[in-house]
Amino acid sequence: MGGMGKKRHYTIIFQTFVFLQFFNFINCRMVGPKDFNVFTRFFSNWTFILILSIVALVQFLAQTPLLSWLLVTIPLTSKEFWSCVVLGSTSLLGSILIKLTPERWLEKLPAKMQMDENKAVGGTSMITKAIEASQQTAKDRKSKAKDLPVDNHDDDYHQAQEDEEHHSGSQ
Amino acid sequence: MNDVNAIGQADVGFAMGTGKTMARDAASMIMATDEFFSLARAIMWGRNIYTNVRRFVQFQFTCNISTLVTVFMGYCFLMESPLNAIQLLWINLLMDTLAALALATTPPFTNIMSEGPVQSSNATLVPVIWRQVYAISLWNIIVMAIVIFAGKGMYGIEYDRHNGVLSSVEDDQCVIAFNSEDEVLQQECCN
Repeated sequence: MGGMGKKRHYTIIFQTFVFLQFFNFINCRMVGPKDFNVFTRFFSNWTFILILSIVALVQFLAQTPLLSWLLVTIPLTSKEFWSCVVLGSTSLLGSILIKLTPERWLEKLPAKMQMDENKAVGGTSMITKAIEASQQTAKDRKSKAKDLPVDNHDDDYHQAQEDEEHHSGSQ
Repeated sequence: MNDVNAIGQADVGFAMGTGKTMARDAASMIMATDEFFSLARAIMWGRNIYTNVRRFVQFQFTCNISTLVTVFMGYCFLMESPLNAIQLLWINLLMDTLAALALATTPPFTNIMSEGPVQSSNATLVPVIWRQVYAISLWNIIVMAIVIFAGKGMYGIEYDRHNGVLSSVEDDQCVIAFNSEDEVLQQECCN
């Protein structure tokens, strides 16, 4: 190993980091509070499988001269490489462990992130005025729609069509 | 005709393709096929979009937080980034483009209709997502800290942090230094 020690260490860091994200990627397929099996219907989405394979392939090619010049990595021994994969896969374990925690703990987490628009913009500005104006227009339109006489036929629509036909016919 | 107001006030109003013009004008969506089941299908795909956004946001947040903290940690304790620029670019490509493609194309699962509607007050960032984001980021950071600080012992690697070479530029400089007959330069490079 000798002089390549630092490069070897940094290659291990890179491989471990990407494999952590790789297995977290699989974790993210299921977002329910109690979805323990992240492999449910794993083969239902071929894009997902393809992209997982691309990532795994690039990580493998980082061990060969084909990509190691680009990613500044060096070939690891297979033992070192697979230990990176195993360390990365603990991400799956972590996801299971966190799903085992009681659901009432969830109440302590932020349910929503809402901000006061006026405060964020810094007082009443052009944008807030524009929003108010558009809200007023929407209200006016709604009240106008209420006042419309209720009829059971689409007379206006058909009449307009007929007019148009008549008009174009006469020309 | 009487439901025009209701359709107008709904977040997403549906009208049948053969319905009255006023109803169709007020609706956000008009069902081309005149089956009522199309409504259920539209709701299914609508909920699936929310779920897919949650999936992607969860991955994106986790990946970003762990990358940020890992690189920051590296700069604080190693005086350099543990991941170089090209590696970070690859990680960024992985977590933006590829992850978005992969997670946004997930088809709806069978239980999606029994899970209830999406509340508009917490559309995507529900507490479950935050729990996962915090926990997995923390886990990633811990694993990375172990690999960065205890990695040398774990893998039996030995090097002096200030002497080792990482980038090819430093490599070349060292080669030049060795080739030169200046002893002072050689010592500076290799002490």
